[in-house]
Amino acid sequence: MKNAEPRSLTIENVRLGYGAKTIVPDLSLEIPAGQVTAIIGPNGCGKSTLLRGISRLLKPESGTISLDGRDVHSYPAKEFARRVGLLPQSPIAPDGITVADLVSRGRYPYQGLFKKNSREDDEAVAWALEATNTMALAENQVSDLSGGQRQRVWIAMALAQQTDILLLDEPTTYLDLAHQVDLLDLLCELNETRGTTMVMVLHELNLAARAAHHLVAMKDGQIAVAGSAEEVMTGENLLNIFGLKASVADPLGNGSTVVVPHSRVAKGGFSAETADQAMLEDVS
Amino acid sequence: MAARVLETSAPALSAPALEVQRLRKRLVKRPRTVVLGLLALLVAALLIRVLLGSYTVTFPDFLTILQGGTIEGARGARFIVMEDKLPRAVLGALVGLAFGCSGAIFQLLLRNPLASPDILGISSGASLGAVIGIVFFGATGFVLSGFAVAFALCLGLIIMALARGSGSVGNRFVLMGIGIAELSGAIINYMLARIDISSARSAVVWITGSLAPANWNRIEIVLVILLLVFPLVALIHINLHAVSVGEELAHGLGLNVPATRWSSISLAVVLAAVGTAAAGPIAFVAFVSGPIARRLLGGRHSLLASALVGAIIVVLADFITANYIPGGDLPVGVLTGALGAPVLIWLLIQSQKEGR
Amino acid sequence: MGSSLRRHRKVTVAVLLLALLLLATLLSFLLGTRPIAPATFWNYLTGTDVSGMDRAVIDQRAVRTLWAVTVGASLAIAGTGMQGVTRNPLGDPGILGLNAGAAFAVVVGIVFFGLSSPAGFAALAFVGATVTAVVVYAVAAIGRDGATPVKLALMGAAVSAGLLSLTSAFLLRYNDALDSLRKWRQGTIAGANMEDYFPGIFLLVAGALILLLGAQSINNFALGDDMAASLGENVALKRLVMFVGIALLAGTATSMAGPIAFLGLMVPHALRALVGPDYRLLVPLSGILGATVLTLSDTVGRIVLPPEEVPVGVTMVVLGVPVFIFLIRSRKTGDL
Repeated sequence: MKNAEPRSLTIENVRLGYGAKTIVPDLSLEIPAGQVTAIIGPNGCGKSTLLRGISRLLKPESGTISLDGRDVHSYPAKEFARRVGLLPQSPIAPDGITVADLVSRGRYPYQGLFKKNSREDDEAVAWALEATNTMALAENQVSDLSGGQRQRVWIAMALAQQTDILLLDEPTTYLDLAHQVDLLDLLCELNETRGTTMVMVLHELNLAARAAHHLVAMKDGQIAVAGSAEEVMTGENLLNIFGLKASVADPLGNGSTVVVPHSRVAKGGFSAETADQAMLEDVS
Repeated sequence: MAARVLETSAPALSAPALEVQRLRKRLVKRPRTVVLGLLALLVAALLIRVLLGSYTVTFPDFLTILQGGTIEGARGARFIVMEDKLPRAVLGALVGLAFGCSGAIFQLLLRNPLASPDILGISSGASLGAVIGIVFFGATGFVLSGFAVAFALCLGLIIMALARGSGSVGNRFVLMGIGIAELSGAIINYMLARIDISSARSAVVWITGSLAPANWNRIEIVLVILLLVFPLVALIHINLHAVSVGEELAHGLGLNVPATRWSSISLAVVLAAVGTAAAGPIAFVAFVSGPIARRLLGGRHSLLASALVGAIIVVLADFITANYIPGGDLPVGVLTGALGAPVLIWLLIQSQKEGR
Repeated sequence: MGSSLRRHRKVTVAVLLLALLLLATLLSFLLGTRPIAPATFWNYLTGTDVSGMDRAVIDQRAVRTLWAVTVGASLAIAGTGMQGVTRNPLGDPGILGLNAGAAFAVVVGIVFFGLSSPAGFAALAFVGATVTAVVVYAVAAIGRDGATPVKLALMGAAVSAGLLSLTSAFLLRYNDALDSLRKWRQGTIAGANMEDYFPGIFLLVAGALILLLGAQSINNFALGDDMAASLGENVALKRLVMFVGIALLAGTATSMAGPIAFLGLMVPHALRALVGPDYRLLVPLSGILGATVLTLSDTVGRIVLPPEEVPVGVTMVVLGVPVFIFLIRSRKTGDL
């Protein structure tokens, strides 16, 4: 399948809000092309608002968001939709729709009045179904699927759109841990094979650290800290951003960090060593 | 098959893509079969309406009359067919198409099974216009239809203007529509109580929805408007389906959501207004056609199928009211309303059994 | 701290609403085709001498005001209950088919039993509204998940439309039925008298008590059926009981004043914007506001087109719709 083109996505001094209520007062950010960026932060910090801004659902009150140096709001709608895709949080499928039909809805930006369902569309839909491992479900009704399957189908729809950048608002909500890992691995894999730039809002810190090349931590509508997982995931940052007393451990010693909230019992707090030990005991 | 793929110089589809293509073709197969079936049913309904009933006409005689001939020994046949039965059947079908399509657009767009011109103030706007026309201007015929269309369109525009703004416009549209419907209803009831009994009677006939005033001039006008509106509906209908995945996602797909919303609402309002002006707000047709069509299609929305269902309902209901309900020529809306309720209840029970 | 502030606001709203009701009642005594001077009214209250004519007018207006307050409060409480129980802000006794049921029963009474007395209309309207409510509820309750809000609303609309069509069929065949019904259908309390007040008021009090006592359950329903069940509610049973209360209120009020639309829909919406979603507060306050709105509408109807009286059902809607539109527009999201 056609590879994604690296595109620069730049946010400069934007101010976002709803009416009189400003959520993001002044934010600048560069989204690294071809990488997975995860936006984390406490509830209400403006993560989703930022994503709505990037996807043009919300127009900035000031500042610009530009794609390849051009204001996102100056793109024709379909042209923008061929470059940047959005998967909102918990979308609702139309009644009675089948998986294949829903996924093919992602081809809308490529279809015109008299040009619909070309062979490219079929190929793209087939690829999206295969990539998300949902081909076997293609004939099922979306309403009959389990939560994990349904989320894969929504991802497939976003993939069929074949955008260079994919924005995802909490794609793992309502999934169990195994399915969360599974889904994020799928997204990472797509990033590696196709080069799709991913920007996702995530709640689960361990998974965000595991999946993303680039972490952006927000607090009160501003970027508190941004960088690699090692740079962002420190006990100090967690306390600062979430007000959470926690240590960051690397129990397996391979760079996959884990946030360990401090025990309620041991008031002194867990050190990285004790967390390490506890984890090893658990394994054995 | 393979040979044809070779002929077109493009590379052959991959196996999964062929599978997708097969599924897509199968997906359009059922709607196609259903639509063809409904078309056949509509033709059958039209024939039943024209040929059977209190004055039966044989099919060869009907063809002769259509070609301008007369039937030996039955001089009145030509008049009854050409001036009563056929125009009523045709107008019924056209009005049914308009109502069925209008209701389906509202239900698809607003994602609310209650959304239909009956509930959203469009029909009551038309009724208000008609009652005002009858009471203050003694309007009949075209003038009366003019009043109905003008009021329906005006109130439709007012509801749209009131629903504009940020947030969930669809919900606000429903609320405003109900408010306007109540307002029109109260004024109608007030005026009905104040006019002489024969005007009140003709107003009630009109409000219930009747095909009795059908004639070829009226059909011509309705037909022309529908021929203008249906192509526009066909143009927006792909966007309308795209909106049904949710407004945010549709926006992400590059769809101009407000433009789609307002253009489809406008078309739905025009369809409802034209149908109502021609025959009154025939109760329940717009409300029930969409769910019936969806049931036939296995849950999918289809504007075309809904329109056809609407036409079949109106033609058959008119056939039954004109021929089998004693007590003079009751308006067709009496039957659609009385039958619509059980049909809707049945649909609900069915969908419960399937556990959807 | 914050909650005490909000509490303060709620008390203020309640006091203001009561004051408004008092004012509406006063106006209802003073205004009309024959205006009463405030001094005369004061003399009437204090028992000082008042001319026989004025006394008769005030007596009649007292009865009428009592009716307006009763009917208005009942319809508004019924509407609030309906919106809470069906979790549907469009819930209104009218939308759920009660008015159509009442009208149909009245027409049947006229056509088949030659009914013509207001008391007869009232009895039949009550029977019609209650039977319709039961039918709507029973049909909506079919299926695994019981009478869900959407099903109730759909069934109400379906049954309502069906009954209206049947009603039209009778109206078109029997001119006398059309003549009687078109007058009853506007909704009016012009013919209020104390004899017809008494059987109704007991039913109304019973219905209002059911909803007042059940307000906490309605709050639980608002969280969804599953959540309500986990809070210890017997959801199916409680919903049925609430529904009976609503049917008592709406059915009786309709039998007293004819089908008055919109009050039950509008009042809870207005109050929610003022005091929030707590039904323990919404139910009693909606009674006060409903009484105020209906009394004011009735008074306005008396003076707006003299010498004719505009029935309260009409003025109510004409005054209410702009307010309703303003309320919906002033809310940020316009959630359903």
